[in-house]
Amino acid sequence: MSRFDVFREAGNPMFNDNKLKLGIFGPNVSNSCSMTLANTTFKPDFETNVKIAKMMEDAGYECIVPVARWRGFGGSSNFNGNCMETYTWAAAMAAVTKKIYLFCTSHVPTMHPIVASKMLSTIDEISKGRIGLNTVTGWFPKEMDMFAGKKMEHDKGYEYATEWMEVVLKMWSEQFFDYKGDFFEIKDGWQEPKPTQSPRPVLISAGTSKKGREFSARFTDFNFGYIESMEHGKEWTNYMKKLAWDEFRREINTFTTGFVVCRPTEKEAKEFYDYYVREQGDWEVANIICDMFGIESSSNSIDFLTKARENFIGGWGGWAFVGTPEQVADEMIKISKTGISGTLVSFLDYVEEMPYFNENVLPLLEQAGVRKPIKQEESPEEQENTNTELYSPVQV
Amino acid sequence: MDKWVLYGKSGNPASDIAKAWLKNNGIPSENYSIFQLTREEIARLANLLPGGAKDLVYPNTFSFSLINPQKKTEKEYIHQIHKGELTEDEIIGILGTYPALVISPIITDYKTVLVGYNLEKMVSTFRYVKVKDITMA
Amino acid sequence: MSRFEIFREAGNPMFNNNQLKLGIFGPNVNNSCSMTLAETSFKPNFETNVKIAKMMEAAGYECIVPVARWRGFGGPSNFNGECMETYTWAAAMAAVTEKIYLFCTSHLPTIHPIVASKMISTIDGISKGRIGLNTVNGWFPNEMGMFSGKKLEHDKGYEFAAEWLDVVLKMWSEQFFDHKGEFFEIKDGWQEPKPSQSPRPVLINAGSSKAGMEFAAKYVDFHFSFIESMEQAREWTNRMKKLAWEEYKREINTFTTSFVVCRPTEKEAWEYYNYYVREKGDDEVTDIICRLFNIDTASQSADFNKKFRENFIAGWGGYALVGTPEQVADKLINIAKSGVSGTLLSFVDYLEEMPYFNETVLPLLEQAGVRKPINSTEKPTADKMGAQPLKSTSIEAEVSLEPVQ
Repeated sequence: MSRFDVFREAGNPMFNDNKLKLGIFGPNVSNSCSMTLANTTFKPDFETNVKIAKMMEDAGYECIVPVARWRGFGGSSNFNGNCMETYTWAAAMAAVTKKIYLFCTSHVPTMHPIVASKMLSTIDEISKGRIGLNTVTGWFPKEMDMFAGKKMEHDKGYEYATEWMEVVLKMWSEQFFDYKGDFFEIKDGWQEPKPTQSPRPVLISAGTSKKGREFSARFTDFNFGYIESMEHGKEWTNYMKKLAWDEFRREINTFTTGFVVCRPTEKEAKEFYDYYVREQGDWEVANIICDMFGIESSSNSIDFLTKARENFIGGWGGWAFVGTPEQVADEMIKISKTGISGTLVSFLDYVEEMPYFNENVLPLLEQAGVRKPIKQEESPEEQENTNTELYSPVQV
Repeated sequence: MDKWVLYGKSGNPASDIAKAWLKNNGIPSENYSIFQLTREEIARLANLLPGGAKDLVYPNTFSFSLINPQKKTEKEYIHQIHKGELTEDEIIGILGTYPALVISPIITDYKTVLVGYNLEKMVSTFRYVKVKDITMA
Repeated sequence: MSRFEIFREAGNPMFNNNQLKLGIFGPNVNNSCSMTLAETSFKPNFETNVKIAKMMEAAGYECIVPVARWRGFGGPSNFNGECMETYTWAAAMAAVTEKIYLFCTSHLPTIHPIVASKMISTIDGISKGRIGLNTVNGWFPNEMGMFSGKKLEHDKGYEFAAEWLDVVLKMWSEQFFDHKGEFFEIKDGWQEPKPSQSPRPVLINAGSSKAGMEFAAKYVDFHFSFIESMEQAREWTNRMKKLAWEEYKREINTFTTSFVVCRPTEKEAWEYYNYYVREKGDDEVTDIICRLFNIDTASQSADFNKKFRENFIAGWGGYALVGTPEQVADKLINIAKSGVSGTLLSFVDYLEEMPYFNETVLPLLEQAGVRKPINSTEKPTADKMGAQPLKSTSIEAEVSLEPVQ
């Protein structure tokens, strides 16, 4: 049985029958994915996150990927500054949810792999096997500077991440092992419990550089990336699958991210987009971030630059799902046709905007056959679990 | 702990943005309307500025009118204040009566005072700022 | 207002009116505090921990202190080997409890202070101000050996701990700070949110060496230790309070730990003690631990050795509360009279044994006046602590709106 077969057999939501998997991105950080000063009820606190997660579980979403951030990006929004740390966030979310798959997002240089593996095993137990790991090497210099001297050169960063991941995998699968690398020396490594999931927690990463993609191909189950067009989505997915197979004899999937502005009419959707992106957008922080990503004004046309910035403000550079439910659903169906396994979505105001999306877009995706209606999807085992009302979430 | 106060005007972009910056950078402030400034507070603030009270005032009628399009009475004082013919006390008196003349926002802990929104100055002022009281005694 | 008064005012359970505070120790590790192969339904899993915590909240306990362990001690029980990591444990527990105060137990050399401070701030948000920190330097070589070369010499360990905690305290109270010390260099330190609790999360520590006690006196709110007699408990408490006050002008409290075998008759209690300690005790792991603590068995009398070892097997060297409800209550009342603020308890089988203790011993403690009945202590905690999510410092004054526009 292949690794992916084992995940499927174990009933892992990230490997269920839905052709287009859905999750959300960054509900734990201030502003989530939108760099704007527009009005919103959204708060990156636990209560709000639980509300969102319950809505998602009711609608059958697959996962939540939090953003790991140690400081804001600046600008007057100080985008993503106020946030919940992702291991503790995931542990608490695990305690009050039942079905959704959760991820920790971890800057590998900030954390010892033994600590990380132990925390993930603990969350695995709390969630009964619903925790995965998103590894990040740390690309935001002001943030990594706080950890003084921990920011490494890019390639070195991936060598470090490779060792880090090797240690974690050993902690999850071996007892009494020694490990000696350039960065870590483990004497008589041992850990109990190991994660209960089969074969192990889902691993994801979003590296787009050559090294980053290699790392992804070698270790992870999903490579996350932005898409510029459907054509590009298809190419990227094929490239990743080929790389993983040719180099490491491994399967891999791809996953992307997008932002949603869904309204009854196209006009309303565009108006709201204009309001939060063009009028209330925090262009200062968009500039800071575009500079960091090397999106330079000299080598690109003004149109390209404006669009790039708008996409960042709209939703961290993700795909724009702006329009009527039909238009949004169409775009999503197109994405699933490229071979990409799913998309994370972000909303400016999750609690306010997600219900409309769930009621109007999800049925269209079901009609199109890219998602199954929620009832059929529930395995008998899960239904049993829902009856054991052991812990009541107190904060909601 | 350092206690910071912001005097601003609602709907004034500079005030709003400064308020947002403080909030989002994790620096608690008590926020008041600039119209709540008393004569005594203006005197205290003036004392902290190299040029005294006139440093608190819009530099010209144009910049004042941008922010306060409908305030005609106050406008007349701007020229007078900056001409240098008034004593410090007289200026403070005028500002006490017409706080609209004061540039917004004013951000102060009554040791330092920031006049208007100036990102670089904010960044340098809030180095090592103590935002929470952790009594170690 | 003194630091302790601020804690009290904020309604912190660790500073409530109960003269004798009660908590439990190590529900997150296998065998909890008993080095035994005796049968038990106890499991160090989340489900069991939630059940225990609910029982404790219903009975009015103050706190839970988990044990941080990265591997077992060996022996057939591999005592404390299987366990839940304490930051993630506390986060999850915070999500499903309402009143009880939780602690993270952290081996400082294993985690960067920025990560630790951020995790605690996150748990503070989830728990609405019910998280504290128990700092541990790491004294178990097999465990620290896994983190290669991270084990520091003893005194150096406390220098590291002091700097580590300095960074955490700055992360909790300042923005945009630099720090340059022997162990850490922080450039432009910043963090949001800060813990909502006033004045900050409760700090506790159990260092018993001179350097350890100095550290506790300088930084923490409760010094934890074992007691041998009421006399020694009083002497220790006075010494710590004096040390903290004279050296650092600080208040400090003490807190101890005990194990409970409470049965309707004394005979039944000792029979069970006999079973799980003498008959089923894990001698091998006890040897290992006695060696680690440098207990020189040769220089002591056989009786002393036996008692010492038995105390470890029975409950990590804690104070023995074995007997009828009256006998157990008497001992607890004596602890309260010694000036010690409270005790953690451990049971071989929390779910099976705690209900009897709660039903029979707690009323006696209330009669004796060392604890208040649950309803009278409840008022300040839940409401007050929930009522200050963003700290009293960020006052978005309502008056900031212009009168007319």
